Amino acid sequence: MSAERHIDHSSPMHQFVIGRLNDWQLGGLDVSFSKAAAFMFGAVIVATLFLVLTTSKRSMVPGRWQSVAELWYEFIADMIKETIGSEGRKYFPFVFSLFSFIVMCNLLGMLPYSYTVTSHIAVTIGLALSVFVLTTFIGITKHGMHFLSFFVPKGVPFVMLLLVVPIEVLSYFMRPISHSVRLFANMTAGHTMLKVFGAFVVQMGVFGVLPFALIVALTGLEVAIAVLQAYVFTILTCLYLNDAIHLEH
Amino acid sequence: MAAGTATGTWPSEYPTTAQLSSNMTNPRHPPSSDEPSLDELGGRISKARYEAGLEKTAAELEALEKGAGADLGAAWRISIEIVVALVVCTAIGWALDYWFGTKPWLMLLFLFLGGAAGINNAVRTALRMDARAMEALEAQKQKPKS
Repeated sequence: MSAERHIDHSSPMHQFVIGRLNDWQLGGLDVSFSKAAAFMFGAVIVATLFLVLTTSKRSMVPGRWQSVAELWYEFIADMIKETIGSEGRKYFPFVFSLFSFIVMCNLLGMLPYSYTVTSHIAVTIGLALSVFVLTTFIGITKHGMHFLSFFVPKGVPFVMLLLVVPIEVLSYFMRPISHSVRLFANMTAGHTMLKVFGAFVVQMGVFGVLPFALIVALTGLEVAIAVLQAYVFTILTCLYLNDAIHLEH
Repeated sequence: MAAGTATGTWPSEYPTTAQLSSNMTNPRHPPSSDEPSLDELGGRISKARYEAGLEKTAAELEALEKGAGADLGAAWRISIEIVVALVVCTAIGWALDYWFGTKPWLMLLFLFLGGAAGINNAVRTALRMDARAMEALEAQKQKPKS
């Protein structure tokens, strides 16, 4: 409500304003359906439709579209197999959904007039915290109190442990934060940069051709980053799962 | 690497498409013609992939790693660890100081702890990336020339 009024329409940050699509109140809480929620639903729907439609024929020799779906599946399956091993099979649905959701949010954000959900720390930290809670839960249920040995590196003298254990614990709790900030900062920085150069195109008149050419290149880079950051988020999820399952750094 | 892991421990009731094709074939010994046609097809796909040099764990990943954003991605991955740990830990120290009225000692303590935690995480990330790169290199070396 306040943010929408204070950010100028021409500001490069205006694109990140969470607009409301309606005005719902529930017991004093603001439960309006926002643009962010709409794009999250959109990402889920697009990913689901894409995968269902492309694999509906289930032909033995995949066509172009089915190949894309198979590549998508294999990409995650191989990632889990390499980082976790066969125990990771159980978590395939979770990791696959996570990757699909993030990559779709990022790519939908690259469309003109659209909105990038992952440029909000609230969304990325929500995802990172669910990974954090899940991995910690898995670690504790799988290993019981032995899970705490994760914070005690082997072969360290007792005196040093007084210093090393707090550092290890802090390192562990920093994980969800760096996990989420990485995605959020990349998306926000990239989209802000595009908007800033876009403003240059308008301001520089004829010479606007130069920043315009740069925007073309940057857009390509942003698409690559959209996929890459989804990949990075997912592989870190796999590494954290691996830590919880095998209790090793 | 790819051919090695594909035949690994992934249970068969939940096969990957990579496993489907690798189960059927060994690129150097394409199945004979009296076998079912699916195997033959798998063999041809696998052979073609092998000859085209596509027989990697994740061809898409490979392309990504060579792409423009990849170095940037690696840089982000490591630097964010240090910055986040340092900033967040210092903030925690500051907040604790505020509650306990011990300004500025806890902030200083947490500043150093945060720096250590950040470097701990960054080094770990870098070591993992190194290990991955070494694995890829080994796989490249072991791959026989066809």
